[in-house]
Amino acid sequence: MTKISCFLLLAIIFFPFFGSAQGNDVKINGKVLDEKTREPIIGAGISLAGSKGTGTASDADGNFTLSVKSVPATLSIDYLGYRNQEVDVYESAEPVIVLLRENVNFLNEVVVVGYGTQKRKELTGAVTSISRETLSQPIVSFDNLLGGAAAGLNISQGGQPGAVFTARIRGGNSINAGNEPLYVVDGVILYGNSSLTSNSSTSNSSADAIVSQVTANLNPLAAINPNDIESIQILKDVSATAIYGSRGSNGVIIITTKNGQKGRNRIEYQYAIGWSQATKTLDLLNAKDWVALNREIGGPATALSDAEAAALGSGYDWQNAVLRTAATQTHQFSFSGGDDKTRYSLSGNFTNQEGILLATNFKRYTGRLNLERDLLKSLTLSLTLNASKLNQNGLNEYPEYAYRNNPFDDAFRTSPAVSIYNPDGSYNYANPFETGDLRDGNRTTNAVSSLLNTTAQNHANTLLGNFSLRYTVIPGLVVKLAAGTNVNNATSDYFAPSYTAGGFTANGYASVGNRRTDIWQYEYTANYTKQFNRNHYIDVLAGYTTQTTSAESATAAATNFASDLVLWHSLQSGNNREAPHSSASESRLNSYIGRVNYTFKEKYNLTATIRADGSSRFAPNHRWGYFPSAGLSWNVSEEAFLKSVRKTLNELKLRASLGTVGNQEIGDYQYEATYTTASQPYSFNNQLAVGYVRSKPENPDLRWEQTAAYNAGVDASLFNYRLNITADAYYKKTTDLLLRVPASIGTGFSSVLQNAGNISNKGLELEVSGVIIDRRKLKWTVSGNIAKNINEVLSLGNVEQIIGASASGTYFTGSAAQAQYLIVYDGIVQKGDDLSIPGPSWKTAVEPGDERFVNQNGDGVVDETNDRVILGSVNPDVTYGFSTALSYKDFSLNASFQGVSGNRIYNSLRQTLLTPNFSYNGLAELNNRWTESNPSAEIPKARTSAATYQTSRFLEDGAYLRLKNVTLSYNLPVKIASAPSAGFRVFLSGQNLLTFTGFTGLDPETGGGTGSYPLARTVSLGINLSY
Amino acid sequence: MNRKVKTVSLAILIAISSFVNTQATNATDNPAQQEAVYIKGVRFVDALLEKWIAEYSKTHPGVSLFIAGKDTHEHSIEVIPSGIRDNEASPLEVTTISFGRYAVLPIAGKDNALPDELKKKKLNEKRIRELFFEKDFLAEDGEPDKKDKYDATVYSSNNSYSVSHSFAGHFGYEAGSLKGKKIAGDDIYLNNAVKKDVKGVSFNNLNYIFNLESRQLNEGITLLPLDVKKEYAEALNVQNLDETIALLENKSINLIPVEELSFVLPEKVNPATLQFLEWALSEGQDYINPFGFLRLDTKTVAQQQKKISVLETKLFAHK
Repeated sequence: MTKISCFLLLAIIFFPFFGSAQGNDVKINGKVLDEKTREPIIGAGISLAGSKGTGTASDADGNFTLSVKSVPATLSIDYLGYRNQEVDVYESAEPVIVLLRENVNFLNEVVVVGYGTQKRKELTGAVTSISRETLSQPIVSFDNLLGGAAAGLNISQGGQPGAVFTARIRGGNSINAGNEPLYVVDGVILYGNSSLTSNSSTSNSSADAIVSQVTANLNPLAAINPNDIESIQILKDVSATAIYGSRGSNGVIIITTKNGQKGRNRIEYQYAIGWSQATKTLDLLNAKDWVALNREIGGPATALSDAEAAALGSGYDWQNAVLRTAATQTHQFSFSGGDDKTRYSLSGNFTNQEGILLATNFKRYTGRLNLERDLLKSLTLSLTLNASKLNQNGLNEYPEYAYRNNPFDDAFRTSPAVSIYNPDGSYNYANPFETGDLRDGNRTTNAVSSLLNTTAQNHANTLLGNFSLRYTVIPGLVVKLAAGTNVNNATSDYFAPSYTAGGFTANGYASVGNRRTDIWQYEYTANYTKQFNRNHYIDVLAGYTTQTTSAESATAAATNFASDLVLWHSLQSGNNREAPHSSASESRLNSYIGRVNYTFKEKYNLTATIRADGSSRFAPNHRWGYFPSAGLSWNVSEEAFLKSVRKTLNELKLRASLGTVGNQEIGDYQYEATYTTASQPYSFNNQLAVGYVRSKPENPDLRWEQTAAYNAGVDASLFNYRLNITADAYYKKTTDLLLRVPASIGTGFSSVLQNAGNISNKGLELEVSGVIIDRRKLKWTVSGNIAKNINEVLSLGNVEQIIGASASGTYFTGSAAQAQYLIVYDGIVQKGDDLSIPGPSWKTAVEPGDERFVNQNGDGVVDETNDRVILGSVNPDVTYGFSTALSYKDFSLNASFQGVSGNRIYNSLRQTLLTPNFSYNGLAELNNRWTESNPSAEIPKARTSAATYQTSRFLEDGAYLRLKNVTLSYNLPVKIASAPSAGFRVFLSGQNLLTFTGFTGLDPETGGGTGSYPLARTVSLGINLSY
Repeated sequence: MNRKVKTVSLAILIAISSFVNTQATNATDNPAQQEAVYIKGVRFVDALLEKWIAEYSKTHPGVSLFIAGKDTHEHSIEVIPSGIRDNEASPLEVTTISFGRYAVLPIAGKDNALPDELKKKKLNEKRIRELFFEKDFLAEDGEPDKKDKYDATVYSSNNSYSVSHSFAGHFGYEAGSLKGKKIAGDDIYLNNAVKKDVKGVSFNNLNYIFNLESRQLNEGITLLPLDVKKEYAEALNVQNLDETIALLENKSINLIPVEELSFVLPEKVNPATLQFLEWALSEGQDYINPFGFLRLDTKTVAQQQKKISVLETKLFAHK
């Protein structure tokens, strides 16, 4: 045996002992966990403190191994969003458990911005993130989360399940080009509510009704399952929104959905069942009082004998007959996880939400797949797909009838002396007091039957998807190719049988419509990030995007059906067929984007952005618009002179930005002259021929609406990051408004779309959030926000005012947009008063008990032309919200409030119900009407020839404070030995449970319109199982 | 030796050496199944358990007792110090048998000036919060506009068996809310940390603070003065383990965390284990104080003994 062999043998024999003694290094094993959740933290950096070595990172289970020369040794552990921690390791026998505490410092938060992400500390713009607590609320639609959640964001919900909602960020900038923010869902750009004002085929991404009688608006954003949402960012100022250029003027809401995490498979199921009722019902006259009033005004009830009148008692409650306690059920399932190369999340949701009005409901079937796969070390594929099927049964409108707008309105108005059902249980179609349109001989309609038997439904199948490839060319340089689509196939069906109000005069009315909208979006971007010698950090983005929208729609209708059984499935069965209508449109937006973020010494940040948009919606000579912005921020707390107070004032940042953004939401082909078919065919040689008329003139000078915006803000974190404050001041001026101005008579057009006029918005915003108690078993956080916005129409081009049928279309130079322009009500004329005062034009001779109006111009007659004055605006000038999250052991309580003030609501429902009528019911307040013996009453004398003027008598303060969401949940202390991460949570949740308001209508959030779908108050129970 | 023979020899030697080492490391993992008791301990209780095993084996030679390793045997009983592991997931319906208590006192290094500074204004609950925990700026005792009152560095541990959890929990916090630096390793190294850092303060259980032989404070360690009744302060000032134990066994002092030590019983407990537990609650109690722990009061002992009786009844009923 050679010497070498002997040495080898000895080495082998003692190998196991050498194994531990031979190396000088000591291996430290450990695990990094979240202090609160005890979930492993993946990718935390672990290094030897003070060493320039490379260190290591925690794996999918939070485990790590680090070799050090000897112990004791000090390890430094850091992870984004958590506080850095140093641990002195004295022995390596046991694993080192590192519990990292989440850094509540919101300046360290990473926020999603347009085409990327950015640390809040480096932001120069005003961006609000919706808190995690807010997003965890169990709700049906995500707009329920937004109300009161961010300063400067005002949300107004409709009551109809699945319906559109109104969102305003920092006030409205436009009159005719839309004020809704831009929504970006997983990188795909879409408008949620562009169809609000139009049923035209030019609507962008609409899943809305195509058939005019189907008034319920199906919101395309309702396709998004709120349980899928990971984060919502509200981009408010121009530094943040300029990257969206021509579509950024109304602010941007970026929604990012959940994806899986490496090494963490998670299965979750949630079930909730809820019950909803109207937040308020109105106190209407009962039969006895209605008969008394009707007799007083000489109505048909005069024919009733006293015995017949007395026999009616309190009569029939039509309001409650159309309302119900509605049930809502949701099933939510998700499965997510990932490994070193793949992250995935799969979810499904079924929601069945009954409306609180009979026969109305909303169903949603949604499936989502988010997939991310590292194909190569430097190449990553991402796919997000959201497929939904939405069904909505809504209210149907009766546009052809006076006094009543829809079955809900009809129910308010039907006399309580009329029974709902016949003695045999069938509907009563014989209303002896009906003197209006809905009478044919002895036959009338029945509001309950009209609601139940009329079909007014919307269906939409939507697909929202985005596919992208990210390739890291060199470290720091990433190129991305993305293709996204938003496909909506929407249909509307309407059928009103002959015995319902909608089909009463037409002997049955059926209509169908469909609309297909395809949006394709392609993005090619390159992003380069680099840190230079600790002082300079740059993040440069450049790219090209293109978006094409094409839409086609078709509608057909028929009336006068021999049978009500065919529904809308056989239009050819109608004896009268309306002319079919079809249309198509296409638009394209090509854009170049560029952005540079530069940070110097982590103190000074610059963001410079430019977007060039070329839109087919404008004439070739005005097609391109350029939207630049610049933002600066200064992390003052990084300066040496603030180091002494850093323990108290942990972070302080000052921000300022300016720039220009645009608005192009006017629909397609607006710069071109267009022709439409004449309402009646022409007759040539006894042959009918379709004729065309010019529907609007061309305007080759039509160009972008532009909003120049300025913002200054401050972000501060105090007291160990437990108090965070953000304040902003802004000024926005929108010029070249895309405005429909009245056209001169000689043109033959009532209005023409021009670039004319300016609107400004200026305001202040404050957001405060604090962790009040952060104890082992008790945690309490509170946050609040308030914003004041002053809106002013600076110019309307060559006119001083635009007066619409209601405030929503009324604008005056020098006043807030959407002004309430009304005759001033001045109380009730009393006996002995001067009766020579001017009366309204329809009743110039004033009598005691009549309404008294102010004759502004002193011409002796009160009329709407000369005597109206501006009395505020429908838009609130102050919006606010606050929320709180309290957790104690396994219990947690979250509550959020939303409030507005300064808005004035015209309560036309109240006006209708306080105007006595031969046929219809009214509010119980009419019992306290003026009589000679009751001169102090606030309700004028009963009379039928009531004013049709809109007067300040029905103008109300729209301020309210609402408990929007409240959830109490409890984590059951059930543990499964084989599945320690399994969780069981039960929750009790409520929406709109409390409202504090002086508004006398149904609800200040839904407004004072007649027939508005009422808002619901909901209580839900649910269980959440996770594994 | 040709190449083939060398390779075979090498393989055999590797196999033999691996076997030898495996046997050496696993010697305690393969005891006789019958009449065996497996105990999974925590570090600061291990000395007591070893003593118990030694003494119990003398009078019960037929029973084998083992300190279980990482791989817990299905019959293992596990020591759970309350206040430390409360927040960890544990199955419902587990049976626990308490066998003693431990106390935690705040400490500093001998060269630290803070104990002297605190003599005039001893540590009350408010000052303990100020010294050891991060500020709760809106709490009634918070003073957000002031700098840290004490120039001290708190040392604590994140390890799951550290008394940092019970100390923080006693004052309503989580261990993560403790200021200062963390250490990894047994709590005994908290002593090292404060000895090394003249501004270092920490806390520890009595059997690490005091020398179990001399019954005096471990070298280089001193207690931080607590704002307690004069008679209690006098007893603590003696700085003697037995005096301290006597005080804490008889008086409840709200500034001093005292928590129970328990065994968590497995679903399948064997008769030998129950017999050992009975012994631990009787003869075994003689070793509680010597090892720096507090005895249970007689009422609690009786309750624990009753629990064991019930378990024994069930066990024999199944047989």
